[in-house]
Amino acid sequence: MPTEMEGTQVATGAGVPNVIIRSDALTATPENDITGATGAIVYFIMVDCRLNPAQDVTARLYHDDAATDVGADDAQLWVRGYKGKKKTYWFEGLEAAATKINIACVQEKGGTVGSTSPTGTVKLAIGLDDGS
Amino acid sequence: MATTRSPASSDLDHRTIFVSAPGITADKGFVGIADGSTTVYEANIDNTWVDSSTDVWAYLFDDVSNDLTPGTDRPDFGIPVPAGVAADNTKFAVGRVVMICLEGIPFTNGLTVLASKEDGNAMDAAPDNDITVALKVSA
Repeated sequence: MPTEMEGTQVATGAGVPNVIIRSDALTATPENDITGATGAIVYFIMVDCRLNPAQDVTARLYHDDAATDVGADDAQLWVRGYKGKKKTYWFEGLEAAATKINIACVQEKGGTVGSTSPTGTVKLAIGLDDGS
Repeated sequence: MATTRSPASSDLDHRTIFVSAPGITADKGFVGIADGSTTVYEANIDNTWVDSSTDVWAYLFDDVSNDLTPGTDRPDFGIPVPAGVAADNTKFAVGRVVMICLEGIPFTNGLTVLASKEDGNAMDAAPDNDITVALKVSA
């Protein structure tokens, strides 16, 4: 007869995502301090370009306590969004951000140069453990 | 109920490319993975070859390696990988990062990987130690 095992509830914030931050129209104008605190860990990023059929884009995450200067500041994590499509990127092992997190979306590739907003609407959702 | 094998060349027909040290080397060399179109479903990056290694960034380019210039060409993906401790193979060690995209990431011009200990576009500082990347790609 198998032994019944007790389950253990994982406390909120203990290494599992507990917050989803959503932007319904992310552009090259950064959305700063998306969690309101430092120490967040990213677990997934969903980039929805179904309303942006004209060009691929880059969703950038910046670790920065100050407002980001998109096009000048270095991003610490970036992923591509593909025109007319939705992609979700799942992560395990990313480090907690020592600073706040800012996000932006540009047409250009890469993590620094480029500050051209998408011509259509790009939606973004980020799943995080905000450390609370 | 009879099972049906997925037809060859379907998206379920994956293969894994394992690029081990010194594949992505401390001399900041590009590693060309594919010269033609491919789809990436998973990138498994390991920065645990040595203890107290530095943070690194793994960059994925939709391009072939011999067309690329560090610090000039811009990567499609920049993935931070924290400094790790030497893995003991019993747990998911600090210093490993996995990125999975179930829909698949299209690399239509080729696939190249570079590692650097700088974020952003600079990419001109080599990691202090070798890292390993395992990629699950379309067959």
